[in-house]
Amino acid sequence: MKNSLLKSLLTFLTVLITGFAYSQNVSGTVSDSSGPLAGASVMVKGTTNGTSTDIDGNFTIKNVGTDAVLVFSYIGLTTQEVAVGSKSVVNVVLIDDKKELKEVVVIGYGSVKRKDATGAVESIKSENFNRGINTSPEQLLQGKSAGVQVTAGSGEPGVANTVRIRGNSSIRSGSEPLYVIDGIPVSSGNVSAGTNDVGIGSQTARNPLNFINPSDIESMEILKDASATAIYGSRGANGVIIIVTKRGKKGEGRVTFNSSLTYSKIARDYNLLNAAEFAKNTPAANNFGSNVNAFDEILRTAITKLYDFSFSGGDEKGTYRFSMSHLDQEGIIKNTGLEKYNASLNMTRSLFDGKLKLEGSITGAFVKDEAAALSDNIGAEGDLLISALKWNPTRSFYNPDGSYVFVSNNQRNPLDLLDNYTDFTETNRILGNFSANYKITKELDYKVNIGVDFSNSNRGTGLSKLLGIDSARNRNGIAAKSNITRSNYLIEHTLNYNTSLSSVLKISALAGYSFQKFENKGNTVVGSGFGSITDQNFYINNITAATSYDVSGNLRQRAFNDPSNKLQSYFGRAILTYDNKYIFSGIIRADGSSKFGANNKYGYFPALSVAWKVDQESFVPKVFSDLKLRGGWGLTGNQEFPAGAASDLVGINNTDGPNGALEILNVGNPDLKWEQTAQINVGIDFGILNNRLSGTVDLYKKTTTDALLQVATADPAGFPTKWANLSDAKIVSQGIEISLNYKIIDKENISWSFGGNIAFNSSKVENLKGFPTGIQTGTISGQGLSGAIAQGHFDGQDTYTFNLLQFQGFDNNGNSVYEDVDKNGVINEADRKFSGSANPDFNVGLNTSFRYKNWDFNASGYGAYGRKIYDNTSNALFFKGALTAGNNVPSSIVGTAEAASGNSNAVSTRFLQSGDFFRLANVELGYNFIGGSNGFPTWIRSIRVFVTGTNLFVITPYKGFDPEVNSNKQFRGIPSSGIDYASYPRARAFTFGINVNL
Amino acid sequence: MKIKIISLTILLFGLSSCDLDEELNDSLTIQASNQILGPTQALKSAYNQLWSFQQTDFQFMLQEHPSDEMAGPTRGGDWDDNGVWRSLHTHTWSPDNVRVISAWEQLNKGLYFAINAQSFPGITPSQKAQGVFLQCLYTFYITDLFGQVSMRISGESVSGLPSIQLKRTEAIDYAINLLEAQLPNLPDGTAMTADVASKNAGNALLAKMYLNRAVYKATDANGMPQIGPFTFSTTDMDKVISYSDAAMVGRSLQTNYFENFAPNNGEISNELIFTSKNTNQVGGDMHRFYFMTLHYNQRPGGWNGFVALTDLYDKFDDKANDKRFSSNITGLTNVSGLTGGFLIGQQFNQLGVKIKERPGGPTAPDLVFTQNFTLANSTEEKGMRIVKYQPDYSSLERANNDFIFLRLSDVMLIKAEAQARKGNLADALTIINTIRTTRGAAALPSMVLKTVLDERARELYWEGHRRQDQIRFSTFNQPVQERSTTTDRHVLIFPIPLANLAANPNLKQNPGY
Repeated sequence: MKNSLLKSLLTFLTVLITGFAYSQNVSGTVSDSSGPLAGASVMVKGTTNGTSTDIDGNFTIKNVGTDAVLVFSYIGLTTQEVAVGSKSVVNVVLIDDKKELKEVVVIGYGSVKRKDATGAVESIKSENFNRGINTSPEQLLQGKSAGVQVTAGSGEPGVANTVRIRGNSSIRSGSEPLYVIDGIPVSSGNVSAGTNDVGIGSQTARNPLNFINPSDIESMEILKDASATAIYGSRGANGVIIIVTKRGKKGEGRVTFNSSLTYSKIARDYNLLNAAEFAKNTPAANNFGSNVNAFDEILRTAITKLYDFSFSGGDEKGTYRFSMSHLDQEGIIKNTGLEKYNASLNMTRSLFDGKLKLEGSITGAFVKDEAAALSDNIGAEGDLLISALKWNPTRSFYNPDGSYVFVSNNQRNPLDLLDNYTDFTETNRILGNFSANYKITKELDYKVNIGVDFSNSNRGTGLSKLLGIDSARNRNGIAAKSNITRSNYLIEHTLNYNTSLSSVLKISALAGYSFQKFENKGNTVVGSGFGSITDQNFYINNITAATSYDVSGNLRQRAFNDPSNKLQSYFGRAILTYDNKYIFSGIIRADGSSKFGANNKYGYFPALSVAWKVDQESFVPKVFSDLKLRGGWGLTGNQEFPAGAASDLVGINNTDGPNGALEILNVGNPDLKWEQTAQINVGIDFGILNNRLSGTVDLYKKTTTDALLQVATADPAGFPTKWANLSDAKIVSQGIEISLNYKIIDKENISWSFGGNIAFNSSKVENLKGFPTGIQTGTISGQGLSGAIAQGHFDGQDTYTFNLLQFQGFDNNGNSVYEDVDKNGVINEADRKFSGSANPDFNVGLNTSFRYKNWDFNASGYGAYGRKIYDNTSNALFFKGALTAGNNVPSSIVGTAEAASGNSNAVSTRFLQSGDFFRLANVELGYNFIGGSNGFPTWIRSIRVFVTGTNLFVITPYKGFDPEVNSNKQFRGIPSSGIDYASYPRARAFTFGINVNL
Repeated sequence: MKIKIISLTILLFGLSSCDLDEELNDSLTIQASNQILGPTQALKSAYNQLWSFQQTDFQFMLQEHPSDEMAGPTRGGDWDDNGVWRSLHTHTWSPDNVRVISAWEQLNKGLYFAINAQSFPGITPSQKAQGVFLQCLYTFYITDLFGQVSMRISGESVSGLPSIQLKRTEAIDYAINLLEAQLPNLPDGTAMTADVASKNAGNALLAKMYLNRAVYKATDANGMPQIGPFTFSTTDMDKVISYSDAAMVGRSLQTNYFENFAPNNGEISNELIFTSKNTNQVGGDMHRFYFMTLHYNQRPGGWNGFVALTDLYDKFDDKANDKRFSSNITGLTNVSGLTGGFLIGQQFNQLGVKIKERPGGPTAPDLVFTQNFTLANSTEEKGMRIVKYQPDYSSLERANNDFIFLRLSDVMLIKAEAQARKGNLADALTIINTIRTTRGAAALPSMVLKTVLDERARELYWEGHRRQDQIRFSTFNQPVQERSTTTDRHVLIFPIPLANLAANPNLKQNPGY
């Protein structure tokens, strides 16, 4: 009975449903790639019947006919249409509309639609960043943007990168771009504590930007030309990189967890002789009968672990995001590595019906760098790497009693250096900012922005008394502790005014004031003489146990508190848009700085630019989905010189204690000011076939005048140099940048895109007067190479031109022959010739990304061509005489016609090589498991597993470890470029990881 | 609405304008420093700068490498050093030579401090006189090496050009006049306080300046120096003699020659007239004097660099007895096997065991220092070495040895030279033989003027005087070991470094560069 009743009920219902077939209810969930989407619009096409999704992304829409089409849309995502048919449940995943997402670019104190940008600006979003282990933001950009050249100093974890936007426009002062993190301009200067030279030379600067967690970054905006960077005035000349961090989004909270494990090994090696080959080619006295490989001994397969966690969310009134991460990166040289903890929190809240918007964020980082005895400028003594490279492979590291063999202060035992040397730097950095934005009227906003950037860095260096180097042995152990504290305070007020003056004319105006103050202080204590204690870590932890504190020489005690650097600015910008076709932008910034000389307290930096959106014109064929012409001119500055440089300054030299001697610290220059760069830029942005092919071409010319330089003082002045602006010289950089993106396939289940960029640049010095033999740089290090200089800036030549003796081979006695340029029979300094520049003629970047169903694949590579590298490592270590003297060399040295001993390894083109390269930087393959499928519960949005290969190959004629290298070989404060000295080798790495999204 | 915006803007900008005054923190302005620092600190800077003479990279090397007693051969992969040592020895330096540049800078730095101290409030007459002495010492060396001196008046701002510009012919008289005026104010001193500029030091420097005056006076109007021979006026030579006599008061020759250069020379030598003080805590890089020449496998293991020329070796006419040529030294020979003076032939350690070349060990060749070497391509054993300032084994890298500017035998030979130039060869010979017999060498039966130059080589070799001495005797341009040519007279003065030339239009590049 019951059964029949049920059956009849079902029959009734079936009839009922069939009968109402033209007016069913449809429900479902709308989500995007990261989960359900609240507030998405769902409409029945061609009607006004519609609804929007609730907070869980769910919707129900009534009275939908079976022939109806539902239209799902959400800002920033591609609108999708679904025919309902007989379905009562329709779930859709809206995909990102790449074009829409690209719309907005941050331009400093505001943002504009990409389509309306008048300057050369580029926005790189997080999904396009480089993959693999990246410890700092600029690595994410390497090869991604035309005209942005990122060069890692070496392969060392946490090493500083050199970033050049449109070439080098400075000789002395920093050529690094200005970094602005969520509105706070930060100092890109070194924040890690240096230390005294305790016997192993000085070290590479740590990367000051590695306090930012790359996975917190939403996008990076690169402002390249002056019409964009003039808003940053006296700091805009080298371009600006604006880092925008991730914010919470409206909707249900999200949790992400990322974890990866990376294995790294040395990628390229010198082909050094093994013990048997060595013994065959060196005098018998050098054969000690063992068989060791010192270089292998200092290397390891390094493991890097990364954990990264975040949760975020928000509602109508505000958002929040918290993240925390831990990176533990081992270097491929033992005892080197970087460990870092990051935590960041940001919150937004709107009050008073959305009239007041408050935003606060804080980012904290704790970075511990562990270093081995490695140096940029070590001489004949050699650091860990050099000691290992030249170690006699027939010589055991150990004495019969198990202690380390001591050879000499010029052949240090690499294992001894590993064991008996400790060097670590702990850097804490906190960046906090708060802003309040008040909507005074519909058109007018007021915003105050307050920022604090504080860092403290401690470095401890210890050399055991057992260590076989003279400074440690003669002093019975040494320890040094250094501390450096930097701070940066910012307050900014801005007014934004947006209105339509008529139906076709819109104006957007900005006026602002900012004040920023930078401070820098620190101290160093060096102690020696630790009695019978041999553990160098004990020395560092108990430095007051030292029995001696040098008051003069390298190891003396120091304390400093640099003059403060205050910057006060007034700025304004107006953007006029006419008929949505013509856009005019004008900028003016006035920068006053406590650093500038009394006669030049304020600098004024104007810019003008215009854009014509040609695609809005009716005569343009439909095939162009985007077409814009841009042109701009602007003046920007560079003020990277130390505070106090404009004044005569005196200090007390602490040698001799409290009654110390008077010391001249600086010879002043009341006319000292920023260096000025005028830049013109013309560009075109285009998109064809609904932006399947899109691209940008820019042409620019930058002319820098008033170049900052330390010039000689008029002696006697108590100090050899002073800061000045070169009145006649110009540095002219010009070039062309092309970037193209092509979506080869763009379907729902499969997509494949390809992108590439190429940038040609030339930077030349013109009209350089008063320097008949150029401005020198490029100190070459090593035994017998004191005082050698390889590079310089010369009138009419490229910046960073090598100036060298011309090596022509060996004579019958095996001695080097050099071209006698002045034909006077004597080879000396006058026979040097310009031999090419470290600047590349052009840089390329290539990348592709492929997606098929749940699989994704990304690859990117970059390269540089037409540049030279000076191989200081080979110059110092690899020649026949070194082999005869009992040092190991690469096998290529054996067969040369060079004399077995006595031939000089003078600095010459013998050691200059092509630095061309192309690197397959990273390749990543990933698979996505979607929640609710494959047996995964629905509360999981997605789980992605991936494998990444980093630095899989590099194509280069360069014979050193790696052609992407920039050892710090500055001379008298003038930075060098393209010199390789015992730089940390680069690794090839494989990463296995997982991303969990809840 | 507009009023609202404007008033808001005014409010905003009016409230937030901050000052851009410099906060100097650890630095002082010159005005403030005169309040805080005293003349003692100011004078100390001028004294401390004397340490630059001990740096083997600075002015000391300009007096030695171009002379007939030292060279820096390139040894395969060592000591190329951008060719600076070769160019110094072969007289082919350019204005870019880093040794020339650093010598100019170091001397001018000293000159600045010496002048600057003189105007400090509260300075005593003795301190002021010491400042003047140091000013004259630096001026003398700049005149000698570079031929032009820029000077500021004490207290003058350093931002502008120096107010005083002196040619070589003027600079020497300027310095002599200054020092003569202040001589009475210099403190009295003994050999034990030779690091303070005393009356003895002032007299000795005046004697030296008068002795060399003719050389500087003979410079052409365009700055071109003369090879000589020079006309040494009797008036000048009489001044040399009287100042020498005054300088020698209270000093006596040290019986043991090498004690003058021992780690504790400041405490034991009675010859010292003016020195730069070093301790194991504070001082110049005195250790470079032994590191720069000793072989790696000697003790201390040196840098295997500079060598003595056969020209110097041949000057020793009584090698068997002359203690200056070679001496066993307690505290040196018994510690390391090294001897004072020349190191030639097989080298031994303190146990009498033969020292080997690198890498050491039984099959390595014996370390045998040779007389011959080649400037461009020498191997590690080439060239004779010299130990004069002895290693301070208690602190090898911060040695206690005081660096000597002026000592008794130097002044005695200055006096002897003045006598000889006046024609009083007998008086000169007496002085020379006093020195020789004290040093163990046989007395000379007779002499000529040039004997003084040779005796100065035997007595004062590798002490930073040789170029100046050779120029006075017109032998500087003549060929020596590993320089076969007679060089042009323009090399008698070094070039002004280019950067400094650009910084001061009142300087003119010396002729020939």
